Amino acid sequence: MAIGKIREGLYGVIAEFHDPQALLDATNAVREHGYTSIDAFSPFPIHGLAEAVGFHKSRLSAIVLGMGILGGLGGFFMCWYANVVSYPLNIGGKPYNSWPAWIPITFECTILLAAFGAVLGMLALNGLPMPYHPVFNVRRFDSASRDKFFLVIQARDPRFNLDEARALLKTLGPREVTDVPW
Amino acid sequence: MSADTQTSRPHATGIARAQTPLLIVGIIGIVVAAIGFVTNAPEFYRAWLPAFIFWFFIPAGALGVLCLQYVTGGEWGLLIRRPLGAAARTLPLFLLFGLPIVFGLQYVYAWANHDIVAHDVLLSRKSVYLNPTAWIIRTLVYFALWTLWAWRIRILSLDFAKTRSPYTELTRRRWSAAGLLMIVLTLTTTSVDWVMSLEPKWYSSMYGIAFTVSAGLSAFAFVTFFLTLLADNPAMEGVLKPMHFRDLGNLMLAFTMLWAYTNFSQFLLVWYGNIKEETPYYLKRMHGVWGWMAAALVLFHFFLPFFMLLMRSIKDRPKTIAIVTVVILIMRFVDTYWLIGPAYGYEHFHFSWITIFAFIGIGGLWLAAFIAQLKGQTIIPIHESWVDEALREGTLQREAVRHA
Repeated sequence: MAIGKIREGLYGVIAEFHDPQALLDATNAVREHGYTSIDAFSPFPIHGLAEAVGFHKSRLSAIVLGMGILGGLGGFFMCWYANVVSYPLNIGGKPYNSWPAWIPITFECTILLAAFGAVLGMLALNGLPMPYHPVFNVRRFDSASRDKFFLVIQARDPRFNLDEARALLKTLGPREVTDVPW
Repeated sequence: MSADTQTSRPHATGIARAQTPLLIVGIIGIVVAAIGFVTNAPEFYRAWLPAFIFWFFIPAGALGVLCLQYVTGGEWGLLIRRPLGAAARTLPLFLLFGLPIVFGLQYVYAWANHDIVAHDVLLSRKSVYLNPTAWIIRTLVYFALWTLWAWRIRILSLDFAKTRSPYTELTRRRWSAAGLLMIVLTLTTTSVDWVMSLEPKWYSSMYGIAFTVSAGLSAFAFVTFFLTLLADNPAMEGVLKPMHFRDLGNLMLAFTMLWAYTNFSQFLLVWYGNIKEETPYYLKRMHGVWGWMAAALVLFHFFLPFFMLLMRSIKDRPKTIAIVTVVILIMRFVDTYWLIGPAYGYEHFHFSWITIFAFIGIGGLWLAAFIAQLKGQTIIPIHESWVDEALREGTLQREAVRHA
């Protein structure tokens, strides 16, 4: 039964490398050939790999800032509404609008919503949680979390041509080049 | 480690050229300030203190940040270890810079004035702790501890460069961990002795940590500014990277927030308590020109650097982060003056021209001493094991480039 099968056809072509430098060189070479929909997999962070894959600034910082401002305004409004409008109490003869006392809550709410924005926004932009990914169809991909390095050219790339992609990857000194079905 | 490698890169940053001009500027500043001493000695002592404290923050904070770096490690300290160490080793010099205050103690601190103390029950009770002899002994102890730690770390580093023994590194890390504790405790008591006791009847338990954080922020702003001056220096090519400025920017952001947090917390407690023994401290500082300075602190010591340091495009570029560091350093002086100035009990805002020349005098001499300590050292600690790693990974170039 094809439970995991969500789509017919080809996801891309994957190449396996033995060491991080080979992966980095191959990634740069593939980018130089004009491919843009590529992804690299490594058991540990490699300096310069994110740039080689063409990683760009995400919208995450804007989400975090927006949520932070929302949290700050929301926290302050909550205090103001409770103390001035909804249930004014005379505390120590202070004016109802005693804003310095609300700064800690305003600050905490800013941090709280910014942190939620950062975590949930990161998950959403990464498309997580993602229990299934086509590269799992490649049997040897398990070792991407141990000691092997992988580079994928995706079929959705406008320049993608199966034979050309296979041929290009084979010139880059991989251990193996495999098709990745959806 | 020979400096004679065959490249076209210069082997020195050329900072030594600034040493003599700074020394001359410093001497001129001291001489002009001394005219103030001749014409109005009490005013001279009071005007000297804010300039002294402003400059003191930098090496004191540098010792703390240096200990932090040796405990935690990390590439953020790669290019600032040597400048921080050099700054920390100038601390004994402040014993000399502080000497005028010792002679004029009774003009600066009410608790050191016999006539005032004799007619004040509270101050005479407090004189068990707040008296000139005890104050001088405590101050000498602080300087002894700072000097001991600054030089002990230096000696261990030199030893480590020679032997590369992991035990030496471990010893240095232990000294640094103890040093962090030492610097926070001594800066807390220093803040009480040197600044908070200007108003001997007022006290705040938040004062010490606010003072310590201010020192850390001053040190970060100073060393980051120092690095931005070297950004276009050919000797720094391939070593100084946007990443380093970003790390330092992030740390400055954290210290800016800590500064605001501690200072606001102190204000909030006094404001909320609303007790007549405590509120005059802030009432004085929120009145007239002092009030405008308080507003400037909120805007330019917190909000402006805070938002600027959130942006990578500002943090990553030497020219833009230099602006942030200058704003912070200027506001560090405003903050120091705002803490000290109102305590002297003048009816209105008061600023003496002597403070300007004390600032120039101490600053010039101190910067010259800082360069003297830094001169001849490599720009990065090239013998550290994690630097070897960075060299292997190709993120660093190794050459025996020095500050000279």
